[in-house]
Amino acid sequence: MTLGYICEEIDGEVLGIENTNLVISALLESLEANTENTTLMQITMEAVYHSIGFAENIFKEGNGGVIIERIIKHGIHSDTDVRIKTMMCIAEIVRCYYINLDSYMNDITTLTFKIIKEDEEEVATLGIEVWCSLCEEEINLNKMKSEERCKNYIQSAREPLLELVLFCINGSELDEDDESDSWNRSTASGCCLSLMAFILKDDIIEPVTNFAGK
Amino acid sequence: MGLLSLGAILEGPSKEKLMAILSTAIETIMGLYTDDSRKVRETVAWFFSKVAQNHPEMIGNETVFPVLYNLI
Repeated sequence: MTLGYICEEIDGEVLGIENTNLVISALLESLEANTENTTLMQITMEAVYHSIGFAENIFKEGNGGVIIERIIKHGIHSDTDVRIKTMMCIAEIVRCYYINLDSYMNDITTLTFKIIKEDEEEVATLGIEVWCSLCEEEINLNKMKSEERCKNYIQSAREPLLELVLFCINGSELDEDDESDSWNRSTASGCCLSLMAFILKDDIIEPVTNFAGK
Repeated sequence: MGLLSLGAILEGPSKEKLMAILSTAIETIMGLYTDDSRKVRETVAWFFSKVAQNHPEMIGNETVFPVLYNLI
């Protein structure tokens, strides 16, 4: 727990590279060793979430894969809160280390799609947020005229992704009594679709109008 | 209904393509303003607010504006 607070409160530079690496490996080991202990897993995953910003050197040296692998496998943990924090970690990794995702995009896609389709509302909403973050990164890269750094993940995943978000937007619409404007699977999907429109541009019109016409 | 999804993509694609779609759909959508479901009417209002934000000329034209005005 102490490590969690350390990561949450301090600036990465205070620790120095060596200590940062020690903290992160301790956290990752704790994830491995305590899978059965739900409370400890929740705390550790939260600490991991706060530590991701400090992992810059690990990713720079090409060792970020270990972090992604260790985190991603808990996306199917039996505890909802652990899955929620796992999704938060993945979204944070996408935001911080977009250019290092290559080898893990398949795993990230498989996990998030499964969660968006099948998991509880809160976890699924965070799963969609992972894709919103991917969209935002690509929109920013295009804005900064760094197209060569853009990996076009949204373009590559567009068909299944569109199908998924359109399905989710429709999902909760039928609930006539739902007066809340809360953040849920449907609203998050709407947000994701708007972001996708900036990337796919004219190509998004046909699938959406086909869907809307039904 | 897919009005939510259509409203979500009003910014991004080119104006020409969107106009082509909107001009054919706008009458149907205006018709939904008198739908029995409150949720549907809300969505229609939201949809037109998105159109007004991104493509105000669509709202200001002679066929759409009077209808919208009468509905208020």
